[in-house]
Amino acid sequence: MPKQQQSIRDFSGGIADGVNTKDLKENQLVECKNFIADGIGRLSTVPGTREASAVGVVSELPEGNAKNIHGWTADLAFEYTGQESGNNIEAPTITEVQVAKRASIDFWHSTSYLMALNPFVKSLVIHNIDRDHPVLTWLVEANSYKNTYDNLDLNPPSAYDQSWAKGRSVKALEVLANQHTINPVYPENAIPWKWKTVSSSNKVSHAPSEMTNATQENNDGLTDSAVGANLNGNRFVVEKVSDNATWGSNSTTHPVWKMTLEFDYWGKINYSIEGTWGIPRENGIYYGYRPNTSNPSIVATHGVSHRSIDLNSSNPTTSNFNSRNGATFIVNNGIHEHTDVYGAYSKFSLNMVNISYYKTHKYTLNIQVYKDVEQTTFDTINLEYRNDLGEQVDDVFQGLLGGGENRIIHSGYSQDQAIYWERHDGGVYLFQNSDTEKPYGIKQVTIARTQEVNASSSLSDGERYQHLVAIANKSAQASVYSMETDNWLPWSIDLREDTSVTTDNKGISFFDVEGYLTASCMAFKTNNIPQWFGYLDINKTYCLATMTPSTDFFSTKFSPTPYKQIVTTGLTANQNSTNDSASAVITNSHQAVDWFSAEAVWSGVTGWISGAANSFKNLDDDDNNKIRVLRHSKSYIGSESFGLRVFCQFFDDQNAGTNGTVAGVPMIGTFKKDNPVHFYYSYIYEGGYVSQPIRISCGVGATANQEGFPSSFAPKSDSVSMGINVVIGKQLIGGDGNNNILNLRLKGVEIWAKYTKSDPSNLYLITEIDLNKGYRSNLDRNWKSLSNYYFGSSSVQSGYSTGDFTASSSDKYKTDYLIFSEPNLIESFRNRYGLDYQDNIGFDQGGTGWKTACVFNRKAFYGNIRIVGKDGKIEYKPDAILKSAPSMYGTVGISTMIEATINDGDEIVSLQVVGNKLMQFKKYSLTIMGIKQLENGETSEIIEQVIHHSGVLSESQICKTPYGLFWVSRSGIYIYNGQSITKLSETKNGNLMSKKDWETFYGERTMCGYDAYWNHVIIPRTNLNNNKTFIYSFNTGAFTTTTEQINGLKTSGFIQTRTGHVMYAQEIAEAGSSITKSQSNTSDHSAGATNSTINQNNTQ
Amino acid sequence: MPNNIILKASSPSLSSLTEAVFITKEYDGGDASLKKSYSRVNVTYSMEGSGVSPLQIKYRIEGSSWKYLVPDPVNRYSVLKSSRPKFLRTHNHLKTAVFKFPEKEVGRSISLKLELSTIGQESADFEKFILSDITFTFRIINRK
Repeated sequence: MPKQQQSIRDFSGGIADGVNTKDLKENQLVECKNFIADGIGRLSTVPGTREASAVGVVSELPEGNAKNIHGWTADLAFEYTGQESGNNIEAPTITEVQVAKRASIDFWHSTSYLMALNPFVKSLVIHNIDRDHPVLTWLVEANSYKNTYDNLDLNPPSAYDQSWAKGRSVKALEVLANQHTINPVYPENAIPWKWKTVSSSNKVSHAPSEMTNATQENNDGLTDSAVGANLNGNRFVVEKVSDNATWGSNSTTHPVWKMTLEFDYWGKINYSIEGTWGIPRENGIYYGYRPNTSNPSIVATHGVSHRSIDLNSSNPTTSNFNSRNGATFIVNNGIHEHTDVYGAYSKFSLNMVNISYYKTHKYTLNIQVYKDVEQTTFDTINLEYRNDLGEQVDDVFQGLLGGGENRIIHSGYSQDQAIYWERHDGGVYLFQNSDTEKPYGIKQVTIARTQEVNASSSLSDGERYQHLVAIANKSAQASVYSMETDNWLPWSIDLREDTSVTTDNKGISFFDVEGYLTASCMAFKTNNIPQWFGYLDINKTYCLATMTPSTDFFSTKFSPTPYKQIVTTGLTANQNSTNDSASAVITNSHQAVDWFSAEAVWSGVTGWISGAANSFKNLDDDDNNKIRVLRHSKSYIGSESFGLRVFCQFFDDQNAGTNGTVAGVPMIGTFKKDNPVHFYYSYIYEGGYVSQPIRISCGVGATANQEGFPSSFAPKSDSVSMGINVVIGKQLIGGDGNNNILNLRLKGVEIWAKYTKSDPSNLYLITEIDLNKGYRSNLDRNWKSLSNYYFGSSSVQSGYSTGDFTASSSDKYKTDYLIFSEPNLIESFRNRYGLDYQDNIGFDQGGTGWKTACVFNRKAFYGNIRIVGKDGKIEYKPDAILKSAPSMYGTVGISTMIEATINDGDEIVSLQVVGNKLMQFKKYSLTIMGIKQLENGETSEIIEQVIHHSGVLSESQICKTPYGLFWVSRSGIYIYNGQSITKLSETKNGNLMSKKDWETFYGERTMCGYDAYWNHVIIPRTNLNNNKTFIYSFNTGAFTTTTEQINGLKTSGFIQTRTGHVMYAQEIAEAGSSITKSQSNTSDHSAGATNSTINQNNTQ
Repeated sequence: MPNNIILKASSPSLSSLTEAVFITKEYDGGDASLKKSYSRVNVTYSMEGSGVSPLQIKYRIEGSSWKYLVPDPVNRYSVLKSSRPKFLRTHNHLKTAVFKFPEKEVGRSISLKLELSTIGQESADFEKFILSDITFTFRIINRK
């Protein structure tokens, strides 16, 4: 039968441990550890890992199996001066990593050189492995060298005699050298070489000038026409070396003869030495030659000095090489392994770890590259690049060096001397290599960074974002890292209310939306309360304080409660015996109310001009439309000093003013005296949180800091309109008037009304104030500017108002009010937020929080929650999901709870979104929910499918891929593409991994993470001392294993870098170079440090 | 002293390994009923660096015990190091290593095992390995 061949190029089937080896498909493997098939004909080793952050943070990861890492992007106008203190954006530098070395091979011959013994024809071939052709071929025939110098015998009769040596041996070596010189055999791609000639200063073996008589000349054969005159053009290649230290103690009488084969090549050449001349060691390893011994097995040993090379143990004179009988040694740079190289390519390192986030520079790279083998002339490559904002250091490298296949293409030099570049952690290498046709070396490289432009103050909206990473630490804290700046931010997240408590927590659940991060303690410890972290511009249009800094990272409670300052001085009208007296006014109180018996008494009230008209009138100055200013008895009560004031004015008084102005005309409406109105206010916070409405109260409590009396307002008579004027003062956003903002997230206020008789269970929106946009109400829904607040004074007061009450006129106009002719029932609190106004909103107490969260259909969903229930007590709901109002991601309450599957002995582990499906993972089941559009335009989640035995034990066991949601479960490995679930670990032929192996592999700490760069998912067995990782390649749909990934100490779950590489946090044992948060809050972070401190302390 | 936390990521480069095993299925030349006499194995691969790599190669016939192949003396990329058949590093160039069988091997199927192995001071560097293909040369003996 003829010979046949079977070729296997496809290893893409990966392992299939669960399939009988005889039933494997052609492309499947029995075992594949640390190899990965990512395509047909390409099986390679698994990817390596690298450190992605220049420095670490001194802390530890929480115990347990939580993911504890979260990546997100945040829009921010960012001047992060701290980046420069990290020493990772310093000016680039150049380091010469490897000086070019010319490739050559040295031949050393002992004085007792004797080449030709049986067999009589010896051959030596040096083969270039890289270019696959012979470099040199020597043949020596013993029979043709019988006399004098013919047999290459350098062994003198007794002691060394130079003339003897010249005549008998040196000449022979020169003749041998000419075997190549005269008859070179070069293929086209061969690298030229020649014998290196020696100079007189190097003790020329037998230069013509040394020939003192004819005998010597004759002995040297220089005039012997038989072998050709002018050998090597009278430039000789054999050098006498007398070096006791290197070759032997008697080198004077027994010198060593050296020949150097020199390539026209400044770089590594891999070659093999073959032929019968010498000792064919293992597969041609060839170090030396000693023909006259029966045991040619002793070879040079790596690292052993030359003189100890034992090539002939029978030599009677000495054991040193120089006296060896017939020793030849072929060596390259003293490293005694035939495939080691003599010669090295030029290699420089352009060192640049990172670039500034907010500065641009012009980078100028100058490379001088030799263009001749003697390194006397060179070409110059000038490369320039100016980076744009938002670019990374890799963009600078690409911009400077560019080119396909990492080769520098430039008109300034020949591609025969092509220079390549390769990324390393600290920058790029610039080098020549074996792909360079004629590498003669790189002479010099310089880099300059000039023309700096600091754009920190002019960043546009499109440039305001960064990729951030949050890492959970022990003791319910988290550190934040910026990928752009390669620095840990000096602002941390601390969930603790009592920061002296340092107990461990079981992880932090992160969740981000619209650039803001939220964090919750997964152990629901009482001392921990969910936090919000984000970058803010806190300077507002309607803000009386100048904030310093105006933009920064801030960390506050996720669900803040409005600040309340109880007024403790003065008496309410109710408490004062003279109800109508001006003295019944509480200084710096909060609100004004219209009470049924009010009169126009403004004297003594802050901002009031005594004696001014006490009527309101229309802008047309029509006296008939004037109304009476009503007495604000039981007034000026509030929860914030100079914060929020709500003036309620029923237009019901027809009496003339006390100062003689005309009688007012009631405005017709539907407000009635038996339907009192209660007012509430709520604060709106950045990130989508509204506080629980608080009823505006009247008066102070009986004791200091006690709530006042709830307010209730009604007209004096039926069928009138209601006017509302709202004033916001410094206290609302400015605290004590300085820079201490009560809550930096505050973005506005909503005023609500409850009509106690007609609809006592709902609140209805009266007006909303945005600190940037102004105010609006359902009267016309248009945003209007807030007015400066005069309130009759000639100077601007500390506040903004929905009506100006200008100083230009002492009259008060009813146009300064939002006038409602009937109770405004357009939008209730429940309509807007889906919540009962009496619910606690969000996670506003220690011990509340969630274990998983996601955003779906512009609503946040929180799973496995602990929240304040209807009865005011904290309830734990492991099966429950809270759904937020649209775009109000923190606005959830017990009345928005969904329970898809309950009382099943299980708990929600993760909520994920795939397309238009919400997936609820429990430990032992998966519930897929879809969206149902309701008739009222709202949406509702409906259960489409409950799949048992496909749950996960932690959120780390799920990752998102372009092919769908990927997760690992005790029953196998799955992917869901939005329509169907596929079990990847199982085929028709059986499981791709044995059930037994998977049972021992899968556990609480098993994780998975998608690597977009390599297009595979890694599945480590554990996050602590991991020793096995499965890799699933999407290119091939196959599994392999590795022991090289995620080893060592504790790790987090996985996210991705900006370039798609899988990324994770890992503890390292040594402290090493690192920063601490306290350190980073000093030096360049002075501004940030101040605010960081403020943020930590002002968590309202 | 508390630990440090650092961020790590996968590298664009392939890993430098100290442990790796690759076992093929049992190839039967298309007909498991035929007995074959195996004579040669060609492995086309590339690897960074130069010198003898720690990658060695074994084979087994019909699931029997693993045996070492023997480097072909005329091939430059299959070498014997510490009595084990190893691959020569190729400086990232795709090369073919040729191995022979230490004795006459007859069987219906054959499986290969590539694994890393170093003895003593041997270099353990194993970087950027890529396996392109494996070719078995055999002659069909008979049908049994």
